[in-house]
Amino acid sequence: MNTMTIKQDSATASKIKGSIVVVGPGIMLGAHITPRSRTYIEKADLVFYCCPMLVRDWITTLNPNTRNLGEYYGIEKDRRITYREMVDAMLAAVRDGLKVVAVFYGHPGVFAWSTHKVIEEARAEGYTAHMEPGISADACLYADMGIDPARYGCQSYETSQFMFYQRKIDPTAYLLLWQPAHAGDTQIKNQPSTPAQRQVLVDLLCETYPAEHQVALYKAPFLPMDKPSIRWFALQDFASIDIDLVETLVIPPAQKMQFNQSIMNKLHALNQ
Amino acid sequence: MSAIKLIELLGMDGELTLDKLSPADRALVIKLMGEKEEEDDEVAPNMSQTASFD
Ligand SMILES: C[S@@+](CC[C@H](N)C(=O)[O-])C[C@H]1O[C@@H](n2cnc3c(N)ncnc32)[C@H](O)[C@@H]1O
Repeated sequence: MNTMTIKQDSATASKIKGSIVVVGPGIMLGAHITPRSRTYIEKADLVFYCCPMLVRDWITTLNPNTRNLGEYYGIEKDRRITYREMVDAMLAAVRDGLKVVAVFYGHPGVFAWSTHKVIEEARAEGYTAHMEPGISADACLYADMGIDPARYGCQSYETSQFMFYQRKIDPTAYLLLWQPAHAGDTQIKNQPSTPAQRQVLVDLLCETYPAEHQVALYKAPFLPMDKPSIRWFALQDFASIDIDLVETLVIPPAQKMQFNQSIMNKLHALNQ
Repeated sequence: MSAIKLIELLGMDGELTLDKLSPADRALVIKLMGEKEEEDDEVAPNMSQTASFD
């Protein structure tokens, strides 16, 4: 998009009342929110949120005009319907001319469908819409587990998508699997998948990693009184472990990085 | 100060811990935590559609 298009878009948008800003409070209550996101929440006409329990109560202290998008979840309900309903609810408020803020925990654009969708659709209808970044679960993971994603590289996938599609795993890099509690759930429900479904993931991973490879389930604390949880176990035991819906599966590298000699030769030749 | 605002303070100040709060404030926070533990959270806040069937 060129500068001209951006100017025209904002000119059109500014004539229309109603806007949406999507923000993230980070993971830990009170600790991670940016001053900018906080101010957006405080000044909003209406705040939607999709956040853990106490974070919801806290947001209500910043602005009492709130609506809980969590109400759209249902245990047996296809999460894709839930996410669509969230977008529709937010868009309806924007169309009513309100200054809307949506708060999705962590970074609002990380592993979240409705947040990107609502911005896309609001813009298409001529409303101003944008996202503010926040501190995501992997940002906490790097800090708590002492991992620098640059050290060996780091792949990140949604677990079920990783299973449904043919991916090329690089066992010399870290592999982060998000939403592992839903591994292999083809119905996209809001409940944990079965041990049998998770065993399919174990079998898939064991094509690349040794069965006894040590992997971890990581959970960043939502509350300042809590500590990070890092549970190490052998990959082959994954199917029988109780998983929290908000844990992330961390698979460290299992092989050494291999030097790319032919590329190095080419690069050295350039230096001569 | 309300219990939730005390938790916010704990979040904002990494050197402040539950045991450094006054007994009355600490009791407030612990009481709220106890109440919330009993409530069933309807949000298992998983928000990614998995792009499974794109
Ligand atoms: C739909 S995603 C939301 C991620 C969130 N937007 C973020 O920025 O971290 C949910 C998944 O994120 C990861 N996650 C969320 N909260 C977490 C936490 N407290 N600790 C570790 N992983 C977490 C888990 O993999 C969980 O299944």
